[in-house]
Amino acid sequence: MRFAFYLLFLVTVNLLGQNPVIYHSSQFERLQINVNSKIDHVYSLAEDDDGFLWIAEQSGLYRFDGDRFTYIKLSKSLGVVRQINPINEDSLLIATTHGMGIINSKSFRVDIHFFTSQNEEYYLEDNFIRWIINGKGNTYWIFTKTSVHLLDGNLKSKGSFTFKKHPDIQSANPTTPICFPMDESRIIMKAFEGANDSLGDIWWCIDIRKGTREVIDLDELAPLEMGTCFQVDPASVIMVSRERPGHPQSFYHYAYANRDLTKLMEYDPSMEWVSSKQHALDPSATGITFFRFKKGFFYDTTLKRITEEYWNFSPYSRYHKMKNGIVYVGNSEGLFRLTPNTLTITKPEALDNYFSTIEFNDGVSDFLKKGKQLYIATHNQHLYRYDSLSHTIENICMPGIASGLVWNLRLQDKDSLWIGTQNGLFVFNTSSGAISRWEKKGVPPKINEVPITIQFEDSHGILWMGLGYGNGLLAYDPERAMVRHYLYDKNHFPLRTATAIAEDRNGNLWMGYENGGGLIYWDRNKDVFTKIKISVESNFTNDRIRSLVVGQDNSLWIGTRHGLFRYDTTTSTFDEFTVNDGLIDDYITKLYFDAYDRVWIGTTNGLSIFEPHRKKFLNLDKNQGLPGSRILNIKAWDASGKKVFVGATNGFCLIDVDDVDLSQTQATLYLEPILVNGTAKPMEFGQRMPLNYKQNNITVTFGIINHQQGRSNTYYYKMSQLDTAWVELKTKGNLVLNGLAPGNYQLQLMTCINGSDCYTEAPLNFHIRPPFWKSIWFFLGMMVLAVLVTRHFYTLRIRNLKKIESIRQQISMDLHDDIGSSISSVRILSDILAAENLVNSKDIEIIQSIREQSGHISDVLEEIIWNVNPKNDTLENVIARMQQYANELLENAQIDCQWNIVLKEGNTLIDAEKRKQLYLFFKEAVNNLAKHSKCEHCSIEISNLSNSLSILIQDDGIGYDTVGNYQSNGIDSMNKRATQLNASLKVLSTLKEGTRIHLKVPL
Amino acid sequence: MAITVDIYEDNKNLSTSLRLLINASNDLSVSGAYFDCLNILENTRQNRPDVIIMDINMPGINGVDGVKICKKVFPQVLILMFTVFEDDKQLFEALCAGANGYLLKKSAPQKLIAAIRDVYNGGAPLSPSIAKKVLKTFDKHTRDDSKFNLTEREVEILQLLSHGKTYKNMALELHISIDTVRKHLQNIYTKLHVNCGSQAVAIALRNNIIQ
Repeated sequence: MRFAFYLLFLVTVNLLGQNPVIYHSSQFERLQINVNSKIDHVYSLAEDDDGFLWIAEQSGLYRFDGDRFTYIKLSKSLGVVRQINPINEDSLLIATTHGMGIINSKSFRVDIHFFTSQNEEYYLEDNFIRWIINGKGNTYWIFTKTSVHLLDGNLKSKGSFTFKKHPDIQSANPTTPICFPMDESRIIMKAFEGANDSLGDIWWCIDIRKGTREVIDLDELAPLEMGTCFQVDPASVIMVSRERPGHPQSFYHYAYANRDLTKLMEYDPSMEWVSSKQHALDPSATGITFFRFKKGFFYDTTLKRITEEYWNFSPYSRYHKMKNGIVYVGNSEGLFRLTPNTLTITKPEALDNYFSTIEFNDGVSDFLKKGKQLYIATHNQHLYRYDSLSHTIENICMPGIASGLVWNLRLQDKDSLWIGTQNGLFVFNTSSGAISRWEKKGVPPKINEVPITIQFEDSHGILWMGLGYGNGLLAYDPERAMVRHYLYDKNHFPLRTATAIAEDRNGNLWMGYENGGGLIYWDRNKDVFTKIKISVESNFTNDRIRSLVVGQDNSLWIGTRHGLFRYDTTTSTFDEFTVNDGLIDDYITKLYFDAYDRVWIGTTNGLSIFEPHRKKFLNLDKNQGLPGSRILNIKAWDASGKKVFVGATNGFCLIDVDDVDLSQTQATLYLEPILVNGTAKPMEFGQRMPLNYKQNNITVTFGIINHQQGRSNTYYYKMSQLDTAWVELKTKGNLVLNGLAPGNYQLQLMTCINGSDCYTEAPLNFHIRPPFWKSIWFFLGMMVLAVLVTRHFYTLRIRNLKKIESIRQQISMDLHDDIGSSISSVRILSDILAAENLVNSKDIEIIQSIREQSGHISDVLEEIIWNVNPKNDTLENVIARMQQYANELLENAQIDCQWNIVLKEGNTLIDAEKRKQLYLFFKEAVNNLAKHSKCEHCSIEISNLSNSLSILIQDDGIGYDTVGNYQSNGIDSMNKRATQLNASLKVLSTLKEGTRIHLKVPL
Repeated sequence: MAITVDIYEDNKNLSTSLRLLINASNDLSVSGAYFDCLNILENTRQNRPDVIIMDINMPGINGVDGVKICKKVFPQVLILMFTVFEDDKQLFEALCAGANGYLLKKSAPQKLIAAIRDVYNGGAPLSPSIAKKVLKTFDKHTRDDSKFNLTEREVEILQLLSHGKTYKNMALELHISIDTVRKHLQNIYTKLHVNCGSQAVAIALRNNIIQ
């Protein structure tokens, strides 16, 4: 339910002197706290140092920033919060049905204090706090249902006093006490009603240290018979005396400190009293105390005045006036907000009495001041003249205007008032009061029939009048008494009529028509109308021009049906302003420039005041006190320009230009503790919060303190990785991010007031660490581990291979040893046998054969062993063996051999096949030499200086015939081996001279 | 008096043959024949042989270790290695252990008899191929001196370098300028195929160019 109520204040009498009549309008709205219940029952309101409103409501404790309610979770043992008092910049005192607590306004931590020992099964009556009043020296006087306690700043008890159930407290629900702290240990309070069975005013003095209660007399109050009493602040009360003969009922202000009793005002006895049950409510230090009778009164503690007011609030309402002037009211029907309008919207002095009797059904379209007379043009056919001397108002009727609307007024000369109406132009003689038409040669007769859209007098004194219904434009030069009538002509005057005319610095005119036709420029010198060429790409979207004004910088402001445009005449560009930029409505009726270079934009839905430099709009409509939302006219009220006349559908008002303040309001975002998987973690803007991969459900709650236009807050967020533009939050300031993957997140938050004022803070950084099995360290560790494992297996394999190799070697060695030893044994035995002379010659042969054969076996074994050994895969070792073999053989054959071996540095590896072939070749050659050559000397040269091995075997033996076809097996096989070795073999042999064998093997 | 011989040989046939062979000679007699060295000290203490014929490849303690053990306690006992192995490793280990001779099993049996008499008379019998191998080692050493073709001066400088002398010190000692020292070192590096002083010293030491 939205109440749209007006609060009108009327200051009738005041202590300071006469004041002008002020209409102080406020906007009023209801705010729903608890979405689950229809009605909120508010017990107390308080404001903390940051500007938040704290609300004690039936369902709990809330904090309000102007738009969002934050529910403060309190322990169940605290019960229901009944009262909130701010203590310092960080804490608030909360008084509950179960005791008291101090809550930290930022962390929401509560320190609880109970008066008596708490029993969680039920609460003791004594913990039900009814009243808290600030005592002297940072102490608190706490009134529970049945007792009064004095607590120091740390809520430590300094003493208490318990009222007797009877006779002190007669009713089950003692009233809220009226009291003044006297000093550090005593308090004066008005006795509870009905106490002591006596009427009249009884005051008690309670000494908390002694624990006594005494009746005291406040002599100064004695003559008065006090009826109702209302506490204003800890030091003073408002009292209403009872009516007695000779003493009319009056309001008094009593301050205990100096025992000062002041009469404030006499109360009109005709006003109804309901009963004495009305109460003073929430005497906070904020300056307003409301109290109510049937009619209701308002005592402003700052102004120290009583005013009268009418409203519909129930009794027991709590009130709080915020530092910025907004008033919150809380009661059993809910929470309400009154936004006082800071603009001073006034009506001219003493006019209101008269104007209240006039029906302003159609609004005020124009006014004109002439001396002491004020002419007001209205839409209901009437032209009013108000004489400020005689305080009379007169209705000037224009004959024949049936449904006439008066559009504009202009003083033509001393006595003649030109009235532009829907039915043509009238001339009113101000002195004689005669009304006539304008007769002039050259003036088209239509002037008496069609609406006069505009009467514009330019700097050269020419009067321009628009003749409605497409009847063109009339230009009247009174000096030269010339009239020119421009009718629509595509080439010369492309408008049907002009609704708007403005003059620029150069004396040239801009014109436009509300039904289109374009933007027209009239060059005075050339006397030419030009239609401004508008490119398709420009912002100027429509030419239904209602109003034109020229700004300080000679730019043209165009008010159309679809928005506001600023035309830069030098660059020929348009700037567009619509509701999207904050304008109150796109259908513009009137434009006006005030002394501070601000554009006043009248629309069909209110008034926007625009500051072009800051691009800020201040929007007003009838809710802020304008007499109607449809603006008909905006003009300077007088030459000073200090007041602006705004004519609207329900009248007119004057707005003080100095009151309009479009300066930037300072506001900052606030952040509530972040919920991570449901657990609250406090965080600041710009901070970095590290989380593990499981903590990936984050709820961010933020907002801005804006009690003025809180309902217009819009909330946005931007996540650096995921969003390129601001994303609007549908849930006010509540962002839920669930299931975030590990990574770095940068979250920016923004709140905009009224669409254009945006506030943002340093971003929040969240770092969700990946689970260790996804982290880089783990990966690297696994890599290292993999490498180590691979190496380990490799090493194991090598070791294994080595082991196998060594086993193989061992087996080989054992075999070698076994066979070798056995053969040796056979040879020995055969030798022994041979040495015995007992053996006959035939047996000797056999033994010899045994010896030979075993010797052969031994040789072969050696050969095998030698071949198998990989160490012998080098050229050097092969040659060594060849040497060994040759030496043995040649020695036995008693051939003298000269060796010449020149080998290159290093070990040259030679593969097994090559080695075999080479060795066998050499064996063949040497065998041949030893067996067949019958030589005495030979020489063997082996070298590998070039990339090939060269073996040269020479002897001085008998040689053999190489030419002939004689191919012994030896030579043949040598050739074969040479081929297999890819080597070149040169055999030279001369009979009786010797043989020369040269082998060249490529390596 | 006959030369007493102990036989250590794990091949039973050969052991028997050897016994027969040695006993066939008048001046030799076999005082003991064993298949392993496990009780060599006891055996030697008991038999007090003049000569031991030692096989290398035996179960448990091998012949070379047997030589070491025996020589420690009975240094005067002459030990002849009698084996099929002629690879460098076994050979030098045996010689380093203190063997007095090294005979290959492939050689003629008479050679063995001669070797026993030889070693008893103070000789050092080696199978020809074994002797060659030994000589080759020395040959390698001396030959390697010229392998790198270092001049006397260069060897001098290497020597000094190995003693940790600075260039300045070297220049003073050799009565040459530091630049000359540097130049010599450059040549050394080139000849030895190295990049720095420590590498040069290492190679020089390994190849016995310097001590």
